[in-house]
Amino acid sequence: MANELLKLANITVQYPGRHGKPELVALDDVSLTIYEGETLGLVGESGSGKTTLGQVALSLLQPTSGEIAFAGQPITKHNRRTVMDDMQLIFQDPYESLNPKHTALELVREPLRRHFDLSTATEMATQALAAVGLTPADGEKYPVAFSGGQRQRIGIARAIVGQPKFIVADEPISALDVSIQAQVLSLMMALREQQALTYLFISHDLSKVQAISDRVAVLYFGHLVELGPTAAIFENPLHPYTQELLAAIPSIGKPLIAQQRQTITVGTSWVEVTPGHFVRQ
Amino acid sequence: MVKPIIDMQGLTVTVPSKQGTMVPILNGVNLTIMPNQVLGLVGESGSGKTMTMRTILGLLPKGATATADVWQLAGENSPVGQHQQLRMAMVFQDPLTGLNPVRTIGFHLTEVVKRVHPRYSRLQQQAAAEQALEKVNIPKPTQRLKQYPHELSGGLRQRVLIAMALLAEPDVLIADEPTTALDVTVQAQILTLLKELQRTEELTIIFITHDLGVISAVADNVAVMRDGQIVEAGTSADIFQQAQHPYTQALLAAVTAVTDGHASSLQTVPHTDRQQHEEIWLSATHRVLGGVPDGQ
Amino acid sequence: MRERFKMTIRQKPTYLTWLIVMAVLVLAVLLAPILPLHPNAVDVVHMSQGPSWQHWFGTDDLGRDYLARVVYGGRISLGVGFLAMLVSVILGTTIGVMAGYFGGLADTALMRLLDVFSSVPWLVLVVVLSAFLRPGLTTIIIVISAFSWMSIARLVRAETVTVKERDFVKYAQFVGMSPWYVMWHHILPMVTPIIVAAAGANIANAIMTESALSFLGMGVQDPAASWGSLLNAAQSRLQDAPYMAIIPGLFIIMTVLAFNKLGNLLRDMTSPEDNHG
Repeated sequence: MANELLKLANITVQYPGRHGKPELVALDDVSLTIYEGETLGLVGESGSGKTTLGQVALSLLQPTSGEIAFAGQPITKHNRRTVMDDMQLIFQDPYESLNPKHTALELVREPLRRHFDLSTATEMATQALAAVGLTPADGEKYPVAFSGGQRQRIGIARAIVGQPKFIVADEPISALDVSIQAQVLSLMMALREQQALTYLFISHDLSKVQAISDRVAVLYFGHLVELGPTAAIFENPLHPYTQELLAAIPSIGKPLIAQQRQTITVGTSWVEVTPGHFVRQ
Repeated sequence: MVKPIIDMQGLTVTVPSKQGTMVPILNGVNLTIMPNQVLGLVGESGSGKTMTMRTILGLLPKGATATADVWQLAGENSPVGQHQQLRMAMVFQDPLTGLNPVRTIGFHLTEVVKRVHPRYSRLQQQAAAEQALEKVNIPKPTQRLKQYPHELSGGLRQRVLIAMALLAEPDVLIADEPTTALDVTVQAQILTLLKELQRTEELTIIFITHDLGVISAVADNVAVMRDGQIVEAGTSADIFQQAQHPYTQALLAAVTAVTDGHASSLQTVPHTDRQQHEEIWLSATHRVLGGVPDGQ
Repeated sequence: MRERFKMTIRQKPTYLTWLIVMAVLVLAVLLAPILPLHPNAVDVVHMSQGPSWQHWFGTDDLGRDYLARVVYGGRISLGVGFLAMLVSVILGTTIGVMAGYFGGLADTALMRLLDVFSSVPWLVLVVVLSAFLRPGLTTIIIVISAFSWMSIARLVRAETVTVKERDFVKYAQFVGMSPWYVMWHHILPMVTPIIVAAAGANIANAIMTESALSFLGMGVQDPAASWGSLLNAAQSRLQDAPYMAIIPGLFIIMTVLAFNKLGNLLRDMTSPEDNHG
């Protein structure tokens, strides 16, 4: 049984109502454990709370209630910074996530600045750039010289350079062209093997998640409605929302099914239907 | 014999670059669009699909030059980039920028009605607007007319844009990545809606996207663009079952690779020499740009 | 960078003319010490004479060569303008970035401070202060910059608020970099184009203000001169020696215009999409 790396227990994120706006529950009693070495795909559409959950996982956002533990230790005000130093983040937008005035090398070096001296950091950053397929000459260039896929590689290099224990990737391939998506995905998978990384892979598209994830969690309006191994989710989706998501994906050779969107009521019990495959009923 | 609604052969468009030289964006595009069908125009960024669309709409950027061997609209020759013979409407990717946030939905719709039917009374304008909203399956149209764009979800806003396009009574509807910004489930609804409207309104739809899965769901015919040329074109079946061009094959492989987990086996397709214009017809409907270096 | 410059010049060729004007002015002023100019040499024979072959700009009422006085006056005017601009920029940028980045109480406090400074009728204040302050270059520089940092602060603050929300800033914050690091390495480089464009207008304004203050007697004292003090001295001779006022006046106008154009050029270079004269 693998070690628990990040344990989120009963996470609720609630925003109080203001100026006539009703209160907003972004996450409602979500419990999720991410194990060392696995890639957990987190799937949901707009309003599902998946981005919020990613922020909670990184300690960027404090939940209204619930507990978080990292590597067995609860996260408190005192150890939060240390814990965060073991985590990393890959953004969605390759054009926004890199400062256009910094060279690729400087960008990849940034997370090391607090921990290492300049020459060590430069050495590590150069290696990280090489690991994503960029040369030292590339390190001297500015983001404007790179394509979207290459910029995303720089973002990945920046995320792995400090050898983090946990990486949250928030829609890392959504903004890229289709043929580049596959390349970046395969890069992330290769790095995972080399460096024993643990990913939380957030996406709105189930099909993108399929290749890289070991397990998949499905969020629907702040509720965790299904969780299980990737194969089980795709072959035997249990929750009506998961089924709707799968049916809606336009894929080649498969007729498109659009269902009239009814609000699906979310049950209160969390049931393990087959080993490791949970659904909210 | 049905005449193509848009027929272009050898369309070449160059734009001025920052250095002052002319850069070719389109390198001899051959595209024949038949009426009453959905044409899927597939291409990644830089392929030229946006410029092709802008040429059809007559919206070339300043300083651009466009030439073609053949430019026929509704069977008649016309200067390149002109389109008076055809009524066209467009649906954009981002419903937010397509709508004025300080104006109601009703305002947006009646604006279009006024242009098409300047003699309509207010009541007639409103009736037309409501009818358009019904066509795109928006419930309670009378109430919607009074709402503002930010009160609607992304999917509803996109439907409003489609309604606006329909009110222009177009012959050709151009949809530029209309579902890219939407959730998957909403996307499915919009795609189904577009297919249905194409039938009921007898439209020709040009659907531009980089997403092959979306193309397979809506398109009758497909044209694949790369480096300012159409590298392969044919019916949906031709492209998805018998793709011949290495680039098309790579795109198809990329889509399945992402879903099947074989992503590591992908290679990039070498760019063809831009001088290659040899077109090979594989069947009555299926053509491929020849002279491609084989082997990947 | 160079391409942007060439492109902007190509679109608006008049910029080149103004750049040349400014280059000539700045060169003349910088090279003054090695040029054969003697602003204080008195030529008793030719007092208050109009422009002639001996004295291209004529002489003033003490017989001093006016060309020399205008050029040396330019050194003061441009020098003061430049230094005042520098102080304004540093002050305005610091306040703007901090207000924009920290937000909350700091922002409110700094912006209220800005409002106070903006609402003071500075000319009145300056005239009143002139009774207490010792006239001189340092005073002028302080006075000018104290009342011109606000527009820069506002621009910088607005841009900071936008830049702050960008992903790469959030990343730096996420990996634990200090606010000072973020402001120096991320915010500042992104607001620099704004500052540079505003600096052009700021210098122009500073030169105008210096002229006004010197004209009022607050600035340099005889025998040193600035364009403003030359104007002051020329007041009494407007009837019979109008050139004494016209020439420095023209120089002020030309310089101010040239710097404004420079500011516009820099602004156009950094945002080529929205070019408006």
